[in-house]
Amino acid sequence: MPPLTLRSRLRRSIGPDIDGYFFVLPTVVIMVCLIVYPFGLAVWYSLSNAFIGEETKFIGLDNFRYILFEDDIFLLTIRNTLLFAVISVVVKVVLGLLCAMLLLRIVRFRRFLRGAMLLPFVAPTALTTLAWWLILDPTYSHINWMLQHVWPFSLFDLGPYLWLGNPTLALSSVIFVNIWRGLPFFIITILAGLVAIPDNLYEAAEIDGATTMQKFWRITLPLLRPVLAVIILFSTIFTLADFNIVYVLTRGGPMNETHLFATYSFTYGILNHEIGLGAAIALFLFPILILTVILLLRLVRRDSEYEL
Amino acid sequence: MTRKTNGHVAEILDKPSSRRKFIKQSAAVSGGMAGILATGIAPAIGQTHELKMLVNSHFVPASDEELKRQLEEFGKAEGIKTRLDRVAHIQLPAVLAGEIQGQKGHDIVTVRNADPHLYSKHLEPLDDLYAKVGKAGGGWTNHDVGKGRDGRQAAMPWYFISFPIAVRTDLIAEIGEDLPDTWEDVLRIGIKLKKKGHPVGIQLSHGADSNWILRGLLWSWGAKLVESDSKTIAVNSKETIDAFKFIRDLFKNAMTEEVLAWDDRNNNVCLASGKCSMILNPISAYRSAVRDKALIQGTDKPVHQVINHIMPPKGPMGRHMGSSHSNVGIWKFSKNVDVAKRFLDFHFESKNAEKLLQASSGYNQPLLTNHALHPLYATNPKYYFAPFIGWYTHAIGWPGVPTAASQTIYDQYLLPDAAAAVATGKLTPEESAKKIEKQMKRIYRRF
Repeated sequence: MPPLTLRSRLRRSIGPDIDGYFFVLPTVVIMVCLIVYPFGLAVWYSLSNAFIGEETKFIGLDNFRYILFEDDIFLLTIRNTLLFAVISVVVKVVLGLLCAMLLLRIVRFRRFLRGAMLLPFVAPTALTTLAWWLILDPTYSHINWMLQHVWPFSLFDLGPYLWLGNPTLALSSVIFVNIWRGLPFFIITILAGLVAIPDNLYEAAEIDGATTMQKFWRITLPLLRPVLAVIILFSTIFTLADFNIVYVLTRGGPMNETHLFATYSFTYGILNHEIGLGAAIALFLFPILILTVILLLRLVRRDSEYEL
Repeated sequence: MTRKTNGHVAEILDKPSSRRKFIKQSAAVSGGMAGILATGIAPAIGQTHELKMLVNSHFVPASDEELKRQLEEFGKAEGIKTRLDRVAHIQLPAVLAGEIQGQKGHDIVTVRNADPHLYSKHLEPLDDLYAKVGKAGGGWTNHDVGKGRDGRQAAMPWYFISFPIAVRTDLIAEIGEDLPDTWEDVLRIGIKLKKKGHPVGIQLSHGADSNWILRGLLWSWGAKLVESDSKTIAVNSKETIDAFKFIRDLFKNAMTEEVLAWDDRNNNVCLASGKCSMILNPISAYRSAVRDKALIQGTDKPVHQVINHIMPPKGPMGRHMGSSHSNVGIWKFSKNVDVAKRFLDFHFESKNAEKLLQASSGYNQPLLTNHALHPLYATNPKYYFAPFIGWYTHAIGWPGVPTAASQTIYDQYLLPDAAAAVATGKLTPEESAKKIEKQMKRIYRRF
């Protein structure tokens, strides 16, 4: 029997499609360089005492112990981040669904409205947040002015409210701006999902005497579930890692009541030069994100087996 | 060209070249070019020294222009290229961190507050230049800034941004009071003017101004965050508690809640719009009012005409104020350390330092006695405080030096948060002093 060539040996061990591996190689290399390496480096930093300009030593889980058991601001940051992400995503889903269904029914100015809807999403975050910064300004808030001078608001003797200075209002304000910015993404994606649902399903339901609510719960929502799962996944990741909105509006204040993982990580990692602690705070998100991804992907997989 | 060279060139031009030779020569040229492009380094014969300086963009652009002019003048005399790069002040820490990690970048850099201490391992010691410039300039007004961990001079003290009281003189006159000299005066006058719709404006928020002013207030009560050894935490004291009680009174009776959300711009706006009666701020608030031709609300009178600056208020234990200090240092990894030192020597010469001071319209407050007393400050009554304020102004970490730990306390806004918690009644002064002590202990343990 003649000796096997290298190609034959490879084919025997990894299957017949060797060429396929070569085709995906560039993607693998790019992923290793741009995703795996930085992620690995971040993990290493979080397990080290990395400090800008100093020698780095492995210290195990000490950074995590410090932020969890000694740093009271970090505990507040966890609470803020979870409230920020959960409220934002839930409101965006509900409002997104509502707006998308309304947009689907609108006939006049349809193109204009769909285009205009995207504006908050496509404008640079830093710029739009600066506009909100002026609208919510502590001394000359546009909203406060409107509440006091514009009829009918002026009848109710409302405000002035300290949108960025009161802990509850400040957190609510940053959540509101996040919703305002992220909502168009939900609306447009859900709208695409709605358009893809075949009309004959609704016609059949109508013949069977289904009510509007029944059509929504039995047809619209189940068929939208894969789309919803994907946008919830994306939105959760982006919302948990949000930085610009809080950094521009409150810088984590008042009294750290709006600090998120990203802003607090920036404070430690860049301003205080403690890269190790900064990385530990940023990576604290990772298990939460993994859990979210697993849950949502399971949902998508279950739905992909859905049969009409 | 000599006759010999001429002949050689003619010989080459005349000689028919073979294809192999052409390919060989082309390959050599291409290889050389590729090497230059890949490394970014020109061959020795083509190399020119370039002195690169990094600063944060100045509030007064003319200051950066003057600095650039000085760099070019120096470069011309030395026969080298020069470059001035500017970044937004908020980006400076990230750029410096990147340069240190990569051990590559500019030669001369702006290092502020605790940066010289943090980066002392990477900064060229400048003790000789510091002594020489200090002697020529009549001595330094503050000896704590620019120090490295080993006590050596890691950077040259450049300038500080002062925090006088910017006060509406017309409003004070209306209620028949004199200009405030002490914190008690600020409270008394503030109570009266708040009733007339003109509160005092001092940030109790996540802003740089809040950090500086509250430090100054605590120091005026004899309180301190750390002892002069820069290590021993001393914040939980009767003096701090008394200072917190004063802040609570000031907030409740002379200020409005909006200061809890202010950034460094809001107090300027509050004064320029005619709402605030007094703020503690650099002269930028006044200069903005001049630039914007801001009017007192409901009148056609420019507000800047009735704004004046006076020394920061005195407390039971004297007059003190905090401030941001800018220094200028040279990276050890720079290939132009000697040239950079010569430039700093040139830049700190009296005539050049004065030109920079003038270009900044006095905003860059000098740390040299002779420059602090510069005639520029006598040209405008609004600047009469300026020659003297340097002796009452301290860097973070005072009575110690600015350290990495003190910078962390600053960046995490621990003091503004502690003051805000007391002011809003979230914590008692005693509880707040205890809390900030605990927070400081966890931070100081790490350094």
